Amino acid sequence: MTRIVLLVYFVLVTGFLLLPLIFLLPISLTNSQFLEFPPKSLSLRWYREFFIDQSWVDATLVSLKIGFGATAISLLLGTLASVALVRSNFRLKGILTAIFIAPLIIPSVVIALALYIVFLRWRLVNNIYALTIAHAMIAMPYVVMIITGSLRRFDMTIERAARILGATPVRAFIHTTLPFLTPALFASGILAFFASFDELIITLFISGGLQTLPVRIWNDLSLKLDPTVPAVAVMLTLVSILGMTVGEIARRRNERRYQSNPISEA
Amino acid sequence: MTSAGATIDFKNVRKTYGKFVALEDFSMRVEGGEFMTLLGASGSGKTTALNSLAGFVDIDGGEILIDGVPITKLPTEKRDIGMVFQNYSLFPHRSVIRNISFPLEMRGVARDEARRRSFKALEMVRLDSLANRMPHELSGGQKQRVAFARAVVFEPRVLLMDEPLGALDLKLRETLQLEIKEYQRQIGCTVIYVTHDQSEALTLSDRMAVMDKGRVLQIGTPEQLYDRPQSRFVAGFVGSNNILKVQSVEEGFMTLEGLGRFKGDGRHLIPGGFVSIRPELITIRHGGSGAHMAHLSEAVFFGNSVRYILRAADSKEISAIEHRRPGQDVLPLGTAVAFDLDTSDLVPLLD
Ligand SMILES: Nc1ncnc2c1ncn2[C@@H]1O[C@H](COP(=O)(O)OP(=O)(O)OP(=O)(O)O)[C@@H](O)[C@H]1O
Ligand SMILES: [Mg+2]
Repeated sequence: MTRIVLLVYFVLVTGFLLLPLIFLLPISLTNSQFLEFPPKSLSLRWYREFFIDQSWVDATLVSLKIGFGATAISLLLGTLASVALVRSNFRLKGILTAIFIAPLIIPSVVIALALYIVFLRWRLVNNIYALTIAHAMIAMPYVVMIITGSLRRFDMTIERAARILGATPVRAFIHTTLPFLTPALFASGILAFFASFDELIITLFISGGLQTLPVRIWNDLSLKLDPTVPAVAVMLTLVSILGMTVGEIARRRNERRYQSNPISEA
Repeated sequence: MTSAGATIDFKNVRKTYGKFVALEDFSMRVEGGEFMTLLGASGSGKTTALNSLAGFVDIDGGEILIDGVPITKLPTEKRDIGMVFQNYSLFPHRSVIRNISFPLEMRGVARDEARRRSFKALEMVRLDSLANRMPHELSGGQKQRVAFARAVVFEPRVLLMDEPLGALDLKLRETLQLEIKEYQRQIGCTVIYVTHDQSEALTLSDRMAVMDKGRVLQIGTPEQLYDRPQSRFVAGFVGSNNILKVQSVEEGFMTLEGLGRFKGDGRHLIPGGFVSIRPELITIRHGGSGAHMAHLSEAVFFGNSVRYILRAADSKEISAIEHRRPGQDVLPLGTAVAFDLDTSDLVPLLD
């Protein structure tokens, strides 16, 4: 009996989560000018439209550039910050941890407004590098949370072994801790990338004329609404699923390697 | 693969964690090529001593020298020491052969040369057929052998082992003990080995140091520590000796507290002092009667011997080990037996 209840519950919840997608896919495949459900005839017309329209392609390229840039920056700084937070002991550690996680908790509008004021003063509005750094800040909490969690589970004696066998601190880190962190870096990299790729509110405030993909969608919504938008949404979803899958495979491989190593705090 | 071992000097080393003193006035000299074991109970500071030699912890006082050169300012990777850890600490992302070549890689040895030398080390531990396995595909004993090969492949003159066999079962431990001893003879490096297993220490060591509360209590050959412990702690830790108190010493007689008067010379003993005697030197006569009677309160069967706990008249307990012939029955608990000891076997203790 409970099994059946659980099954129904599972189907309902998954259905609810997938519902928008279930509608989006057919809508995106329509041959008509307008959003219609169910579509009267199917075609890939709006997918083609996306790749033909230079403004969509440009917006995608801008988003990709910013996304990769923000991911790289947040991974680098976030990892270094995590090492400091996990491995050393200093007085302001708690406060520092909070600061790194803050962008996740503070409402986007507040951050957006703050950044807007600062960027205006420093003439950084409409600057792709400034926007990338702002996105890196938004992405950082994901990196710090995942990497600190992973680092805490790392058996430090492996790094010590590397040291006594002749590795400098940096090389020991690169040869032992970094491979251990790879899946976590991958996972947080994906989250960081999508945190940036999806970001709308802050971008709207500080991007000036710069159009990222979400901004382009937003602009489209307020002007005309044609089925290119659902087509973009479906493609975005497919790309995210692909990224998650690769991340999960990497995680499982790593787990198998470390399973026979008792975790010890050193 | 030979490297003459280096001498190691710990000079009054002190290490504290906050208020807690982990090493106190820790001094010890290990000769080149010697197999030295640190033996002590959990928390006695064995790992701390090794880690301060390896450079994993900074010491608060004293000095450590290798071949007469102070090393406490030297970073870990420059100390040129091999080390085997209790949980193996192999690199999970590297195959067996690449684990072993790691120290050579770090030293800039050319790839071919590194591979050749790593294979030689792997052959020594007889695992050359597993060169391309990943660590998680190895058994505990195989991991330990790989860890050993990795620790000696760069021919360090000092090799540290921190309870390398602690995680393995008894049978495998005994096999690996013999192997470790054999490899060390081949390589010739100085070894400091940590264990809390006294029989392992007795088997492996050229000399051993018994530690308690961050200090060395006694250093000597296994025979010296086994036969002539100097303190109650060492007597109890190495070989579970009986520790007895001398009540009085007279001409031709002596009295042990709780056990009675024994005939024999006691001139080397001080009244009020403690003495130790090995369980196998207590003789028991079954069913007989004698000057000293006791009841059996416990019997532990070891196959070739039986360990009895005897309870003497005023409830003082003493343990005796009796060698056993095939078919000989273990005496039932409660049996009355006569026991005796030779007073010249009593070893006076300093504290
Ligand atoms: N990082 C640390 N902080 C505080 N105390 C420590 C630290 N490392 C070790 N100690 C303490 O120092 C003492 C000695 O520790 P050590 O690890 O050297 O013992 P050990 O002889 O190796 O014991 P075991 O046989 O259990 O491994 C212990 O009481 C331990 O609690
Ligand atoms: Mg220890």
